[in-house]
This record gives sequence, C-alpha cells and structure tokens, in this order.
Amino acid sequence: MTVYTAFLLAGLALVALGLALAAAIIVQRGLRQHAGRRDLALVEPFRPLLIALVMDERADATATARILGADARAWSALEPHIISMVRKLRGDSRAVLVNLLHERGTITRLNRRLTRPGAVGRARAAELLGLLGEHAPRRDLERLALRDHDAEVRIVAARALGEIGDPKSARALLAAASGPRAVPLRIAARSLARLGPGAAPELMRGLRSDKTTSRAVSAEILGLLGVTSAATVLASAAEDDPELDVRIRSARALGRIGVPSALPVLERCTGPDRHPALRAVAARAVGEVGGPIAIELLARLLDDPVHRVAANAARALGRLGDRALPALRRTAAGATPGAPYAAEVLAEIDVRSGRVVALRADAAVGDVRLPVVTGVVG
Amino acid sequence: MTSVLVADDDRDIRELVSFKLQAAGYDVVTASDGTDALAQVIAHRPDVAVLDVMMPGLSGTDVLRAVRAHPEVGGTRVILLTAKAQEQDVAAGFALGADDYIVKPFSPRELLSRVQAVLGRRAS
Repeated sequence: MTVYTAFLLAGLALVALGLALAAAIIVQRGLRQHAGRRDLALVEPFRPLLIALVMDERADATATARILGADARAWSALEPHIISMVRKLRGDSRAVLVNLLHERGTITRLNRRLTRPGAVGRARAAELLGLLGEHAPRRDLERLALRDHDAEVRIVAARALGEIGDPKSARALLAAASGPRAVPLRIAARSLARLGPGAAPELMRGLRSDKTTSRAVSAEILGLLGVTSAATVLASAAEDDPELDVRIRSARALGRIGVPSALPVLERCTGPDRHPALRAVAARAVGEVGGPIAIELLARLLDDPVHRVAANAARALGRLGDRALPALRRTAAGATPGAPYAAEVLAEIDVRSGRVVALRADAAVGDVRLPVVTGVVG
Repeated sequence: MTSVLVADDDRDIRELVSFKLQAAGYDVVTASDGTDALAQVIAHRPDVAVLDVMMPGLSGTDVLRAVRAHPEVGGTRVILLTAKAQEQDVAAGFALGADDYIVKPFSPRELLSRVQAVLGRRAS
C-alpha cells in the first residue's frame, strides 16, 4: 500500500466517522423532539383542569380525581409539568400542586431515591424535595447534608433544607458547616438565614459551640436575622471569643442588629489594644447603631493611625447624614490625621447631593476633546 | 369592560394569569413576545399591561419604554412580572415608569390584587 492510498483511506474513514456522528445527532434530536411532542399531547387534556384547579386555589374533588387518575404514561409526562408549575407559583396555588404530587406518590418516590447509589439521582431528588417543601422528609435531607459521601449531594441537601425553611433544621445545618464532610460555609449560612427567626435559639446555642465554624456562622446569621435578644451573647462573643473571626462576625452582627446597648462593647472593640481587623469592623458597626454617642466615638476614630479604622469611621459618619456633618466638618477643617478622611467623605456627600455638578460637559476645542470639568455650587 | 394585556413567553404563566383575571371579570388579551405585546398595547389599548421582563424580541422593559414614549398609549398602566428580584432591578423597573413590580414565583391572588390596586389608583 502506497502512502497516498493510506492517506486516502484514512481520509475516507474520517469522513465516514463524521457522517455517522452527524446522523447520530440528527436521529437523537429527532427522537427527543418526538418525545417532547408526545409528552405535550399527553399533558394537553389535563392542562385546562390543572389551570382551573390551581387558579381556584382550592381542591376541586372532580378535577383532582381526574388528574390523579391519569394512567402511568400520562402521569410521567404530567409530573414534570406540574413540578415546573410549582417553581413559578407561590401561596395557595402552589400548595394545590404540591398536594397533587404528594397524593400521587411523587414525594414518597423521591424520598426513596435519596438512598439510591447514584449521586446524581440523590442530588436531583434532594433538590426536588426542597422545592416541594412541606411534605419533604426533613430528617432524611439532614442526614444527607451531614453524611452523604458526595460533596455535591451534601450541598444540594443543605440548600433544600433552606428552601423548606423549617427552623428545626438549624442544628443540622450548623453541624454541616464544619467537620471533614462540611458543606461550604456560604451554602450553610444562606440556608440558615432562610430558616428565619425561629432558628434563633439554636443559633444562640451555636455561639457557645466548641467548633469555631459553628460559632462564626451563628454570629453571622443572628446578625442577618436581626435577632435583638441575641445582643447579649453576641456582645460576649465580640469581646471574649478566642477566635478573631468569631469576634469580628459578632461585632458585625451587633451593628446589624443595631441596639444602642451594644455601643459600650463595640467601643471597647475599637480600642487600640484590639486586632486592627476587629477595630475596623467595630467602627462600621458603631455607625450602624448610630445616635449621638456613636457620632462622638466615630469622630474620635477619624484620627486613628490605622487606615481601615479611620476610613470606616469616616464612611460610617457619612452614612449617618446631617447629624454627623458638624463632626466631619470640624475634623476636615483641622490639621489632625483624620482631616483627609473627613474631607473625602464630605466631598462624596457633595457629589451625592448634587452640589457638585458638571460645568462643561462634552466641551471641545478644535479636535481636542476636553475632560468634563466639575465644580462645587451652592 | 376593563381590559388587561398579559405578555409572557411562558405559556403556563400566560394561561394561569389569564384564567385568574378572566374569572375576576376582566377582558384579557395575550402576547407571547415583546414585539407582539407592544402591537397589542397599541391596537387594543388595554387598561393594564402585565409584562414579563425577559421575553424574546423586545424585553418587557423595552416595551414599557416604548409605551411610555408613545403619544396615545403612554398612560397605560404597566405591571412588570419577572424573576429578576434584585433591589436594583425593581428600582430600575420603577424608574422606567412601571406602576408595579411583581417577582416570580408569584401568587395569583396577589397579582389580581395588584391589578385591582393599579386600576384603583388610576380611578382615584
């Protein structure tokens, strides 16, 4: 065989392979389209019933019975359709659809899938159970979030627990945030935040956990949920927790909760003997609490030698509005280290309030385009 | 009869919202894309237009902008119905002149109340 023949045969083989692949793709698309059309035809007779049932927002016995009586083939097309409608609706309409799925056994079937060998199947079942919420097996999902050997399944289960929003899952989610099979902190935190204020008692217990991650997440979420009753435990954590991360998150949480009683603790957190990162966060938190005492404290912090502390104090004063302006102006007019920070924030306030305006927008001299010139008016 | 345009590329949403509004006594016209929605607003002059934001062709915000700029239908009440739930999305919708903003997933009962409220505001 000559080299030419070998090349020719190889080329022909490649062309044949390409044609075979193209044919396979076309056939697969055709089959998929056919299946889609078939499913649509199977769903079509049930659509008016389904829409009437959902929009009446109450269980009509006849319509319910007809939908639930769909044969296995029709139901296999109808079930994904109902699930897609659940994703679009809230309130009683959604509850009617979830009840249909519950009565037809979808939730029981998904629950069984949680223990199947395939990780993709378990994750898919966990995701759907989270969507279907009220009838989902909370404990099975908690077990999955804590112990499943597949990281993706643990993440999906933790998300599902957040979707379901039962505060009883707080303990499991806190535990899921630490340990060798931990879910990423932001996933656990987001799910915990979705549990609402009902999770507060467990989060307050979490602040006393021996696990740093649990304490850090608890502090963060208590702040996000604005649990005022947690101010005392957060104040202790901001001052005394052995871990800097927990102290920082607790100080931030105190700012978010915004109770004035937190000011003395936050003031101590801004003290020169504390870590600069904690001092900077505490300065911002002082501003979030606000009030005359906070303004006085922040005005002092403008002269702080640590850049982040002085900058945060200046921004916090800027956010406090007119009441903080005298303090900012006083410092800006002086010669202390805080003067540039105060001046910068005052300039930002001027820009925001429209006192700085474009004087010559789009100015041009010959072919040379000049930059926009700004100035202060009023 | 008070008329409402429901524009959404999702057939489920179109049918669900139409059913709810028709049951409440409104005359409903529908559109499945932005271009059709704008044409329907100009042709039918609905009292309220419920617009999905992410539609093929013109987006809901494009339609809203065009409606507000139109000399004859500029006063049409517009409710944006969208999955875009970020604070800046809502603010942008109102800045463009939307009368209300509903986030998906939505409650049909709430949507009906919002339509009634928007119409009530105009009547007053």
